[in-house]
Amino acid sequence: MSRFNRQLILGIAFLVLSCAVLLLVHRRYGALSPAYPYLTGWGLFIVILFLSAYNGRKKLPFLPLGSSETWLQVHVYLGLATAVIFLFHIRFRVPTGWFEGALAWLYGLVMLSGIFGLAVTRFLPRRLTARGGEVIYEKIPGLRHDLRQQAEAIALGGEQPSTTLAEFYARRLDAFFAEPRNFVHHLAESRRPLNALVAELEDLRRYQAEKERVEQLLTLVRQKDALDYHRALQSMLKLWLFVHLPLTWSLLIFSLVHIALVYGFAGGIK
Amino acid sequence: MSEQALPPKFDAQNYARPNDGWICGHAAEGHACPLGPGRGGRCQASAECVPSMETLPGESKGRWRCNRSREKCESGPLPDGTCSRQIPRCAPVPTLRTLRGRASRLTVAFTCGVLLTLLGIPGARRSFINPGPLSTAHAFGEPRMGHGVTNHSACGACHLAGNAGPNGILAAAFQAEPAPWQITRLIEMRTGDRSEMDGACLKCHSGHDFHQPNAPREAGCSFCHREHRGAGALPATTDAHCGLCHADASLMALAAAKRVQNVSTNPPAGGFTGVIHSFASDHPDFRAARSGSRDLNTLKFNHQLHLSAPTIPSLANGKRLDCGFCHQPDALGTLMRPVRF
Repeated sequence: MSRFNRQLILGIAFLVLSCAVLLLVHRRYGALSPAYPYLTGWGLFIVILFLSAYNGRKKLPFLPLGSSETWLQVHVYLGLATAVIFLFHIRFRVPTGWFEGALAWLYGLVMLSGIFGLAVTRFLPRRLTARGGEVIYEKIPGLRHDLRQQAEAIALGGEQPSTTLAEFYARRLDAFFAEPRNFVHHLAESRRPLNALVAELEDLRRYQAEKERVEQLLTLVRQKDALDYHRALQSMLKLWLFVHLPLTWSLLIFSLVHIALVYGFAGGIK
Repeated sequence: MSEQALPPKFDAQNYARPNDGWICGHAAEGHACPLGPGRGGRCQASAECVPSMETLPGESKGRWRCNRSREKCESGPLPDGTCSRQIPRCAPVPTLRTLRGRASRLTVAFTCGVLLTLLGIPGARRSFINPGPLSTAHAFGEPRMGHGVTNHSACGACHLAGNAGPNGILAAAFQAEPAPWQITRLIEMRTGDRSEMDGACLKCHSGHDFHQPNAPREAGCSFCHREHRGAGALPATTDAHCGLCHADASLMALAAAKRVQNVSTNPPAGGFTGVIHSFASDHPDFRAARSGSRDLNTLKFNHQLHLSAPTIPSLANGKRLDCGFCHQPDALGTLMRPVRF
């Protein structure tokens, strides 16, 4: 059994077991214990605090706190288990107040962004591996610049400058090499824009004198497309955290205020 | 279909430091300076070397020498001792890590700002933190301002910290019983125990004796009757709430032993202290439906006759009497208006 499968089975077993225990506790105490909403609330808050600590763990790699891989596994499955605690805490009732509604929305968005991130980190690396090559995200602009320089030199330079190639470069390739292109198409694994550009470029092969330079440009175009592919997929691998992390901070702040409000309003007039 | 192509190879020897907060502004042009930006995102580029002064024996002034570790440059240092090969400065670019940190800080600032604003303005605070509309009975008949808030003293009518600002709420939270850090006291709370909020109920519902005098134990009002669950009547209690006492044989035995006179006539066969687990299973029939019982209402009004007999005249619009002609719901649609003729 592979390491990944073993982790998956262990994680799912933990999830099912913890949900079963939570369900039993809910059925036993959910309706009758006056402290139940408090206890589920504290439980949820402590678990969310622990889940948030994963970000801090990544910033302190030198501390002997277990491997980041183990933390990630715990983060994923414990995070999914919080959905059950959350539902028990709100007693399956949609919050009606503005504050509680906002808190519930924040929790939901953090959970959904986490699930999205989990899916993205499971599937996109496989696609990148299948495509091949290895590029550091931060180096992509520099590589793109190099490709553009080479393409310009081929299309505009040389001993016998070609008007046809220069015109085609200015019309079609300059914009292609200048910026990342076809983000959505790359995410959707569509090669239609590349094929269209390649077809136009291949038309220029009919000019015998430019055949070799067209071949060189074709290679550069395909490399640039592969670079854009890496950029698009790597962006998705990184950008979902722009939702997940900031909203987690908001969720923690709202949770603290929620605790203060619940305890502050627990006292009746004397 | 074209074949798959690989992206261009990058220089693996050129260490990229992707976890740094800033990238050299020249990186996008493919020639980042080896020094890289400083921690605050400031370009640290200066010159290719720091020339050193070399004074030969017998010389008084000396001369500047190129100090480059690689081959010495052709032009050499300038007369003032600075390197002639200045590295062009750049505008460092923040990495995604830095941008994510900024996004988090902005979100925290926005969240705190919104919360402080909404909690700091009394009118906004009451609407914002109200967990849901009050029941009609507890809304005190004032014009509604959303979520059951009726007037400026509405929260304070029941809650000790109802009219307090953020500081007052925080102070009340620390003085709560049990306090936020007293988790063990939460665990020790018994089913149906009175809470601090129940004291507020007794301000109006004085003489509270938990339904009737035979009850052997007190229970908190808010345990069964949940507030802030919407306008109209309070949410119906569940079998579990009633079963707190009625499903407990020992409590029912204690209730029977109290033997306080019950004003009700025609009790069920097992008396009022029989053990009941739920309406669906073992609850006795209500008195009106019980055989041998009669309706104690003194008003003689035959509904069947008025709704169906041909001797009852039709209404002005030609329609016959129906239930809705007399029985109209109130404005909230939860209770019925009194029938007046």
